[in-house]
Amino acid sequence: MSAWRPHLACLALLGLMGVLAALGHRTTEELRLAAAAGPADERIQALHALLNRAEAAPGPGHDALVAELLASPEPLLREYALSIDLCRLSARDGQGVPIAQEAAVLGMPRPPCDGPWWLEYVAYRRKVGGKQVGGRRRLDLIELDWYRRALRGEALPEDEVFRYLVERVRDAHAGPIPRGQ
Amino acid sequence: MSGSSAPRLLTTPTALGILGLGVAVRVLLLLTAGPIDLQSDEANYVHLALGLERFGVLLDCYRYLWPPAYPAFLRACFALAPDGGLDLARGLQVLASPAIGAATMAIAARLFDRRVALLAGAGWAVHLPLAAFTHLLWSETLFLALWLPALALLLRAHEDREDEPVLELALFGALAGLAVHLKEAPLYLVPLLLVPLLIARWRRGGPLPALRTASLPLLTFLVVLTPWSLRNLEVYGTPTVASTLGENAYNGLNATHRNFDLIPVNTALQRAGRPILEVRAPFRDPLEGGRPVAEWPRAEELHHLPTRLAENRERGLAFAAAHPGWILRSRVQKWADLVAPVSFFTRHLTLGHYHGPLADLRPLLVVLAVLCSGGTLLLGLTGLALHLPRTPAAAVVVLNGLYLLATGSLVAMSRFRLPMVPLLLIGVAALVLRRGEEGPGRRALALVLALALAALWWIGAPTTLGLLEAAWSGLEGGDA
Repeated sequence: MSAWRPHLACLALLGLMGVLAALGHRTTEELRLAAAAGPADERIQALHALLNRAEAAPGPGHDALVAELLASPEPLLREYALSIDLCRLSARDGQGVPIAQEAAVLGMPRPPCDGPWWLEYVAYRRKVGGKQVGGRRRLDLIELDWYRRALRGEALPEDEVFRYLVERVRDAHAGPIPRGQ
Repeated sequence: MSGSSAPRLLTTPTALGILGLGVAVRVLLLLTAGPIDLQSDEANYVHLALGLERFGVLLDCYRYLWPPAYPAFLRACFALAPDGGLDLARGLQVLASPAIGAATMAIAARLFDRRVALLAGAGWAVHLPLAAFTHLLWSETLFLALWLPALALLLRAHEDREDEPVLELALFGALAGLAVHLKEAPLYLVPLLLVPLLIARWRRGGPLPALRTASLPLLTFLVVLTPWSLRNLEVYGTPTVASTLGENAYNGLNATHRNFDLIPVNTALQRAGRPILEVRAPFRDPLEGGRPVAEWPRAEELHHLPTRLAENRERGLAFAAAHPGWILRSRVQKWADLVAPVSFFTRHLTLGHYHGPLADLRPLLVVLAVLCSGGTLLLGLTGLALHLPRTPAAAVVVLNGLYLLATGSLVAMSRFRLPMVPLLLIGVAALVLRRGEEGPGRRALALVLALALAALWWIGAPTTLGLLEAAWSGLEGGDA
């Protein structure tokens, strides 16, 4: 029997993990309650599970949630509203772009290009997943550098950021990406 | 070589010198690369790491559910070095890489002998495309630094000994589990690799000891995978480890040919107003009544990620079933992509992603990298065909190769053959150092494999030569 001890230890660990997972499981209703109020990070944890479960669906309820998060005084919640979790289920325009998030980040004649806006822009525009969730192109080094500076609360070179974005938009119009056919 | 002498080999001055040389090559590449632009998935990994840092949750990639460890690694690097997180990640990858060299030597020592081990180690040290991954932000280096030691432990467990190799097997499963958290690809290979051990033990001691031996690594494998699977069960309602198959079915079982060695280069060529590179039409186009078939779309209407990915997988399989002739033809192209003597290192050089002195040496580095890639494939396959011992342990190497060929038949590019490169380097060393042991059957096998490789190189020639020409002359502006 002693030869099976390692196996039994593994099975016990697996069982323990199962029990802990069962104990930590939150129903959709519990997640809804946790997502509605409380500290931003706890709300995000709850929203992340809530929005990725099979029962999550687009509709007026989801759009109201997006609007509420985008209007939040808490920067973290505004940024999270621009993430794939929310954009996936948002109402979209004819080109499949999430309407509310697009308007919140880029709906002004000239975006502020300051630190808080840059965090939102990167969360929205550089996300993994493509156009249907609001993503365009991928993060590059200068953008990452500005992101780190913005996280530290430093001021960004706003004119330089704006010029850079205009150039990148021009780049993006070079044509469809060929697929090596 | 006996079980205890392989670890001893690794502490000899020669072996340590080889590992030091390998680290020096990688440090030199890192220091001379200058700032390195982010390409494709590198930027995606960084964005996921930023999300993890900012929101405390690992966001998905919409088209994939990637394993968590690499974004978590980058996120940890940002925590330790907020402004130099990527530099720290690259440095840590360089520091992790000797585990690959050491495991390559350990595996070679167990399969062959000390001399083959040292030469294979030397091959690892100077193999440019492999070395370059230490400064690229793909999970390959960390993956190999776990996966190859896991294989070395499995081979050690195959050795004849009185006691049961409990520690080796438990560690094999645990390291393989950690590796799967970096790259999902070998998820189904792990149980497969235990079959030769199961059979060998069954023959020697009967079914119960065999099952006991083979089940232990599976259990430790599960112990490592389960926490994240339970997290996914809580978040997505599916106890998956990771999920890339649905998108790979879209990319690999669809009317459009996709090879990611090619796509960014074609983007840059297009932006430069130059013609894009195209694979040979007979190996590319599915036809119905002589007309090209349209690409099937992703199941964008399904919002739940695992459901959408499962539907994509079903659509891919249905497409493959509807075009059986095409599926066979196009798999040949996939294998040609898998063995093309290009690499992500040459792709980075091509696209001008290096900005240090390394960029000035582009033509020379391209030639060296192509020689490394092509030479390792041709000589390594030949060496393994001629000299790989006919033992259950050696079956581990064969199963690795066959599994890679199977997964590479779905989506293929040079990066996907990387797990086989250290094993091929062992084949190169065996070819150089072993003489006169091969029978006619082995020689015939080696000839067949070499001819098959040559045929695949010919099939891939239009794009390979185009990629190498672009690498030689250099481009700017690949899709970042």
